[in-house]
Amino acid sequence: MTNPLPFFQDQSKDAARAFRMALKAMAMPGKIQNFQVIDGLPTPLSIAGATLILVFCDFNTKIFLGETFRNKNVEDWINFYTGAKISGDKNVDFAVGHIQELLPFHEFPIGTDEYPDRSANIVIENTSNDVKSFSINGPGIKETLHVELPEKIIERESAISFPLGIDIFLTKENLVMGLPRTTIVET
Amino acid sequence: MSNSEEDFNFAYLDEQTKRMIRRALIKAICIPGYQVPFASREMPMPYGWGTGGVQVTAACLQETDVLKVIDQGSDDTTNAVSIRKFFERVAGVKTTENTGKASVIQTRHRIPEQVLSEDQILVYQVPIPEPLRFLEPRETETRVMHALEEYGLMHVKLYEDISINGEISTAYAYPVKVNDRYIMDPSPTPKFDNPKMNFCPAIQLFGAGREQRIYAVPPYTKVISLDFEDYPFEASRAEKTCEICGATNTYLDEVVIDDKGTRMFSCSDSDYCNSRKS
Amino acid sequence: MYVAVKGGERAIDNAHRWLEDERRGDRKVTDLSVDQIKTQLSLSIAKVMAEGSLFDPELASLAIKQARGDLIEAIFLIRAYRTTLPRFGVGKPINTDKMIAKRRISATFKDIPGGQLLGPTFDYTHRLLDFKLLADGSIDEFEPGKDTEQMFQHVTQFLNNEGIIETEETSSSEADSPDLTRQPLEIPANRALRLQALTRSDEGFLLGMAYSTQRGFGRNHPFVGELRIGLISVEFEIPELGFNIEIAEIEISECETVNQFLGSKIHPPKFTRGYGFVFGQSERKAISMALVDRALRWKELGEVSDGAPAQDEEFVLYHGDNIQATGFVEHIKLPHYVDFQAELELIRKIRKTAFEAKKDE
Repeated sequence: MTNPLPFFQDQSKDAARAFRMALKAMAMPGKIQNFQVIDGLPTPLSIAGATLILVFCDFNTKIFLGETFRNKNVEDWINFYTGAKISGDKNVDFAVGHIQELLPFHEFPIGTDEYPDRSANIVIENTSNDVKSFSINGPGIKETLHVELPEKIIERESAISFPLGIDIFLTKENLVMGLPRTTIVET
Repeated sequence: MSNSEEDFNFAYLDEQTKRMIRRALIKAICIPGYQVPFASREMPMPYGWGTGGVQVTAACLQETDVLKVIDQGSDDTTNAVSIRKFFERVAGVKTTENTGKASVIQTRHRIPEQVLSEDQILVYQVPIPEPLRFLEPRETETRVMHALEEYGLMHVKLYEDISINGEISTAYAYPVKVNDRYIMDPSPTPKFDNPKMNFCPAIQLFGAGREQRIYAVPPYTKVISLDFEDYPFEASRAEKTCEICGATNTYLDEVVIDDKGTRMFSCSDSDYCNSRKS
Repeated sequence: MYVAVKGGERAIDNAHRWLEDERRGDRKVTDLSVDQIKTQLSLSIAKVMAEGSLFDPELASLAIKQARGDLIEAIFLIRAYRTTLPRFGVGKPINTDKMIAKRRISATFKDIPGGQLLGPTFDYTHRLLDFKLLADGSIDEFEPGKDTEQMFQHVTQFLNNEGIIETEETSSSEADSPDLTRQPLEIPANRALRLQALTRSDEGFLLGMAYSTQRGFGRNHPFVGELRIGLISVEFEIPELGFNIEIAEIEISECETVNQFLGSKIHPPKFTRGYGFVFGQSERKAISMALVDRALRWKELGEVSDGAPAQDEEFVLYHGDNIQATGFVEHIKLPHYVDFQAELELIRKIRKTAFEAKKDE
C-alpha cells in the first residue's frame, strides 16, 4: 500500500488553513469564504472543490463524481493525492458534481435516526449557473440572509427532515459557501 | 529513536487523524447538539484531562492562531499551563491570556466573561458528553432516546429535584436544548455560564476523548437551559463582589484565606479580573 | 491579603525534575538498563505490549524504566507513542497452528499428539522466596529439548473432526474486523471487535470478570481445551510485489476453552468455545479472556442471559480499558473548584429555604 502524496505545499499547515475556511463556511451558512489559490488541477474540478476533497477525503472515504467529473484525470488526481475510492453508486461519504448530476439529493446517505451523522457531504460545483435569490435562516445566521443559490437547491428542503439530511458546500473557483442541513431555504 | 519535537507533525496529530476529526467536526456543526462518534486517539496526556479538547484544538489549529487555555476560568491553573505548553511545543502557535486576542480558546469548566466574537472558536473539554447518562447508564438506550427525542426522563428528574429540594439541584453541567432539538451537556461549566452559549457569535466545539464524541454549537444558535414555567432557570452566582476588581456580575471563586475559615471572593475568570484591575 | 495562585508553570517544572530524580533513585546503585528490563522482566513487558497494543519489547522496556515500574503508566506511554505511528495496512491473519510452541497444554485430554509441553511455567513451583536471588547467584543455562521445535495441531481440531464442537467462522472481509484504535466503539459489537477490546483490556479487570463467571455470575462451564505459548510469524502482503513477506516474529499466548454444549432435540448438541489471545507470555490473561469471550457470546449462541456483569457487553467493553479508566478515575484530583462553588451556592440556598420554612412552622 502506497501512501498518497501530499498535494499541498505544506501539507499540514495548508490543510489546516483550508479546514478552518470549510468549518467557517458550514458554521456561518450564506457567507462566502475563500480558499488559497492552487493550480495543477484536472478539469473541471474547481479550486474550492479540489481543496475540499484534499481536506476531507482519504482512503477511508468513498467519493461519488458527477457525470462531467468522471474522467481519468480527475479520478487519477483524487486517487494519487488522497487514496479515496471513487464509487459508482451513491452510497458515499462525499460527492462532487454539478447540481443536476447530483439530484435527487435523498439518494445519497442522509443518516439514520440514531446516527444522523452518517450522511454525505455534497460539493456542488460551479454554482453561478441557474441561480435564484433565496432567503436563508437557521443556526449560524444572525439575521435572515438573501443569497443567490442554484434554483434546484430547494429540492433538499422537501425531501428530508432534520436531524437527517445532507450537508452542502457550494463552490465557484476558489470560493465556498456552506449550506448545512439546518439552513432553511425559502424563496 | 530520538524524541525531538521535529518528530511530531504540526499540532501533534498525523494528517489522517486530523481528517477523521475534521469530518466529525463538520457533521457536528451541521447537526447542532448531536454527539458525533469519533475514533479518539491516545494522547500524551491522560483521559479525563482534556484529551477530547486537545484533539479538537489540534485538528483546528492553524499556524496563525493565537491560543488561550483556561481551566476553572484561569490561565494559570496547572492543567491549563500543561496544555498550553503542549501546543506551544507541538504547533509552535502564539499563546495569550487575553481573551480578546485569542482566536482559539480551549476551556475546562468555564466560559470567559468577555463576550466572544465571530472570529473565535471556543473548545470545551468534556468528561461525560451524554446529558442523559446519569439517568440511563447504557449508551444503547440513550442513543435511542435522542433518536426519538424522548426526553421525558430528564424533565421528570428535574421535577423530582424541585419536589425534594424546592430547587433543581443541578448547579453545573446543567442540560440545555440546542436548536429546539437535541438535549446537550454543556460540559461541567457552572450554570451561571449557560446563557452565554445562547446565540453566541463564536463557534463552540466540544470534545470528549475517552467517550469518543464530538459535538458543536454553530454561532447564533438557540441554546436554552431546561426549566419549568413555575421554576424558571436562574444563572446563579455567589451574591458577592469581587474583592480584587469590584465586579458584581461575574462568577466568583470562594477562597479560604486563614485557619479561621475567613472567605474571600474573586473573579474566577482571571483575565477578565486583571483587565478590570489595570 | 490573598494573592492569586501564580507560578503553575514553575511548579510543574519542579515536579517533573523531582520525579526524574526519584526515578533514578540512589546514585550509588547502578542505573537500570533497558536491556536488563527487556531480558529479565519479560512478563512485565508482555503486559505492557498487550495492553499498549504495540509489539515492541525494546520500547516496552524503555516505558517501564521511564514509568518507574508502574505498568499502567508504561502502557500509557506506549499507547501515546502508538498514536503517532502511521498505519501502512493490515497484516495477513496469523495461523497459530504454525506456532513454534514453548508451552502447550490441554486440560481436556490426558495426552495429546505431540504431548503436553509444560515450558517455562510458574505452575508447580513452590511459592517460596528464593533468597539465593538476593545474592548474585548464577543460574545454569537450560537447553530445551527437541519437543520445542515442532508445530502442533490444535487440540480443538480433534473435537472438530468429530463434529462435536462448534466450528469457528472466519471473517470474510476486512469490514468484519474493525480496528478499535481507528474507529469509535459501537455497541453491539461483533466478536472480532469484542476480542480486540478484550485483548487490550486490563488483565486485572478481565481476571475479576472471568472469576465472576466461575462463581455463578454468567456461568459457562469452561475446560481449557488448549493453552499454547510460543512464536508466530506475522506476514504482510505487498501489493506491488504480489507476495507476502514476513515482517515480524512475535510471542503470543493463546487459550481455547471448551464450554458447555448447546443443542436441541433436532440439532445434536455441540460444545461451544471461548477464545483468548494475548501478546507475550500471559496465560492468566489468555484464560480470563477466553472465559469472558464465552460469557459475552450468550446472545449469538441462543442462551438466556443471567444479567451477569460478564455477559454485559456494554459494561465489559466500556470499562476494561485501564488507560481510559485510570485517566478518568484520577482526573477528579484536578481542580474542580468552579463546580464545587456552584454546588456550594446551591446547597446554601436550599438549606436557607429549609431553615426558613422550619421557622415558619
